[in-house]
Amino acid sequence: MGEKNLIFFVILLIILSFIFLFSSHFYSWIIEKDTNFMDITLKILSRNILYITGLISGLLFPVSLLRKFRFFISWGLLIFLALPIMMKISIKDTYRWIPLGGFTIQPSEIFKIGFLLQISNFLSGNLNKIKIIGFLTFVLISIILLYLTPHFSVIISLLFVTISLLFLKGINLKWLSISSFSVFMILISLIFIKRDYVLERIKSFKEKKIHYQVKQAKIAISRGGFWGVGIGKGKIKYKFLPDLSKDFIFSLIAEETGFIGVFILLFIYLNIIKSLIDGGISINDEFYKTFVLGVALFTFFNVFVHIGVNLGIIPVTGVPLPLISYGGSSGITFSFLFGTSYKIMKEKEKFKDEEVKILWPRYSL
Amino acid sequence: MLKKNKKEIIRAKFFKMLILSSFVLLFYKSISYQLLPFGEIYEEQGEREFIRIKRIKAKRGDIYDRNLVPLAVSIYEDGEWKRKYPFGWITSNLIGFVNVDGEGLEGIEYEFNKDLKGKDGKMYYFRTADGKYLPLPEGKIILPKDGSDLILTIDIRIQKICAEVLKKYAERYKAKRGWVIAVDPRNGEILASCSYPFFNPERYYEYDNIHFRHNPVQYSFEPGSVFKPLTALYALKNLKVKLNEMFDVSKPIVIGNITINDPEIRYKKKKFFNLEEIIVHSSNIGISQVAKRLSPKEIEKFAKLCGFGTRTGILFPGENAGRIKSYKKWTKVDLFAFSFGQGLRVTPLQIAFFYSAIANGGYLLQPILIKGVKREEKYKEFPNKIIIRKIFDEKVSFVLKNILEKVVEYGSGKKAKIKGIKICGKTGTAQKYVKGKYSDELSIMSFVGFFPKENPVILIYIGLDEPKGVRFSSEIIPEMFKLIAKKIILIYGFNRYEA
Repeated sequence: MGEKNLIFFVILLIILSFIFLFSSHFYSWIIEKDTNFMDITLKILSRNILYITGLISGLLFPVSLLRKFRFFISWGLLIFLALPIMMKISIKDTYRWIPLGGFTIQPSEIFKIGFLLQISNFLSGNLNKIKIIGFLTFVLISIILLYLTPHFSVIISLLFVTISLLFLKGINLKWLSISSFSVFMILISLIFIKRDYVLERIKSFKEKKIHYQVKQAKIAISRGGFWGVGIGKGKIKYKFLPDLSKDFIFSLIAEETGFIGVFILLFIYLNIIKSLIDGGISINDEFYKTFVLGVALFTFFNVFVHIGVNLGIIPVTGVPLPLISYGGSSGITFSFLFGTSYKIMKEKEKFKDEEVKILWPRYSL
Repeated sequence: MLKKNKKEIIRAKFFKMLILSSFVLLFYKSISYQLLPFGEIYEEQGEREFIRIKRIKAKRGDIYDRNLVPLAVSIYEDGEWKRKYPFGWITSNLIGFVNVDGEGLEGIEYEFNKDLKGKDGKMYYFRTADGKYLPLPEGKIILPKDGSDLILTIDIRIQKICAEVLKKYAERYKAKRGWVIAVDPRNGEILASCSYPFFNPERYYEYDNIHFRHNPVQYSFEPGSVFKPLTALYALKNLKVKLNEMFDVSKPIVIGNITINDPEIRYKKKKFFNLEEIIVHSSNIGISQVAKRLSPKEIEKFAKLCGFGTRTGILFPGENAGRIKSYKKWTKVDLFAFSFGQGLRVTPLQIAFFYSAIANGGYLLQPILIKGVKREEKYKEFPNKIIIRKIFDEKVSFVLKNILEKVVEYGSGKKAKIKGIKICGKTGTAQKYVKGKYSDELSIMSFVGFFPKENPVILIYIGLDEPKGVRFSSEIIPEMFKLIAKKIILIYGFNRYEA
């Protein structure tokens, strides 16, 4: 039942995505650039088709293969992450994007799949030195690469997912505090290296010097009221927010559909996360369990941070709203992960916990 | 195994709670903007940033004369309202003018600015962040509320006659300023009110402030002989003088180093004047002897009762109150001077309404300039007669009218005489107090007259300040009166004025 819920809500999100992406691009494409109405429909529809493709490929991709090639895939994605840095493909002064035809691919978003495979591997089966060293090396390299990219919100999401998974997987408090401390140290050192940039952001957040974007987002959200101003009638899309369709799509939804829309949106995400956690917990296989829980955590992190930024309770950082925002890489990653999770949950009876014999020292309290 | 699962389930439950509360936090925060008043400031700010307002100027109310002839109208021209004054200089400083923003700056336009202006409408435009303007889909528009129309008591025909005569004489005699005010003494309605110098209200910016002054209301001066009837009236009213009593007017009165003299003393054939002759020949010596019998306190009080020294409360900006020196500070000379209208300042309006009281049998009336206001098809009429108080008996006024008739009959006002109509009037030539003494050359000349004697329907007060080449008021001002009166009679029809 849980997995049916998941698919239902994921498809609902993709439909909502079409509506709000259309609305958000209405001004800049139709009125300003005088683009053909049909062209826009196709352009946005192609995004949604991309998400559906991701979902279907997640559904079709044999999960056993995913497990079998976990190292290949995860290290491969790590190299992909390093690609723009090594080849010096710089867009907007960052190494976040790789142009590919008409699209740009964001390796740091897709990398999440690789990271999930690594941590699932790490938190399943016997724990040995090689495993620990391998995992730590992978995490360290990925953090360095993400730092160089730079894409801090992904670093934080990785650390959040790691700690949360350790907690969910029942690790004892000693290890939990040790790992939390390391995560804390990593964050501190990152902040230290980039202190001017980070301090400035935190300072401006603390001083309530209202960020232009946040102010605009708040205005839009406030305008929404109970019923919203009506789909398509929002004002925020008239160039008041750059990257509206990516980082501030929630403001548009809140403006156009008001309290009701926000309620429905949060309800959908809550259901997706709940079905992933419930489904994940009930899987016997530790690898797949970790994987599905990890998907739930990534989803939660993105939703919370995206909406939190829009509402001004988190310092401004560009995090796309899963499956709604215009970000194609993020969208396809999430849809693929949801598809895979659905498949894992559906086939959970097949998995036997044969590989798990002696696990972490965690259980010897 | 079981242990592990149990632990995982507890932790998962805990984690789910954590996630739920995070969502509740987001939800609460969202509600606080969308539903609680907290978000209103952002909402308002948003309106300010998104919406641009274009004002739709309301039509300024028109101003009409008593016969609904337009005196000031607003015309929509080249995308904006323009104020037009069909009678131009004739009504200039009475109506006033408006500046480029449509704000009334002088006269009636200023006094009734709020009513005339109306309320501007608004049209909302939507402004995008990149500075483009789009019409709002909702098409928000607030229609303007046009200003109220104003109907004055002014009769533009009379106003025109008065203004033309005033302009002609003031220019011919190079007067510094002048005025003509025409009043209906029966109810206090002002029929005409002109002030020289005039200006073109549509090009007001080409003139200096002196042109904008409306002398009948805003100027005060020493009235001179036109004030004498007040002394006579008070003496008569209080039986201080008998009509057949004779006063010696052959010798000047000398008090200390001041001599009270009559300008025409050389030409006097008679040595003794009765009260009538004192007024008719405008004898300072005579009226001073009358004043000698009066108490300064009482005559000052009576002057105040007649409306001098206080504002009439006419609905016109910048009204001058005039000034009466307190009787406590009077010397004997001051009492005499007061009796022939020196040593105090009055406005033309006050003189006109004092004489109106003589004309109407003793009632001091409220000057009325506004007949009504028309607001959105609703006409609100202003009171058309307000009696302030009765200041003397009809008997006294009857006697005084007889005396004033003689002034025009054979006295200083004889140039105002019109065949077939009994006109009452009084001249006044007040020397101006310049640089510490009364000037021999500079004077204010005026004439007040009303007709027909039995039941006066119109009173006209004319004044010129510093006309050149004239010694006495009697030489030119009654002539102006006659010109004006004759034309008014032609308009109104002669019969109406036969008692």
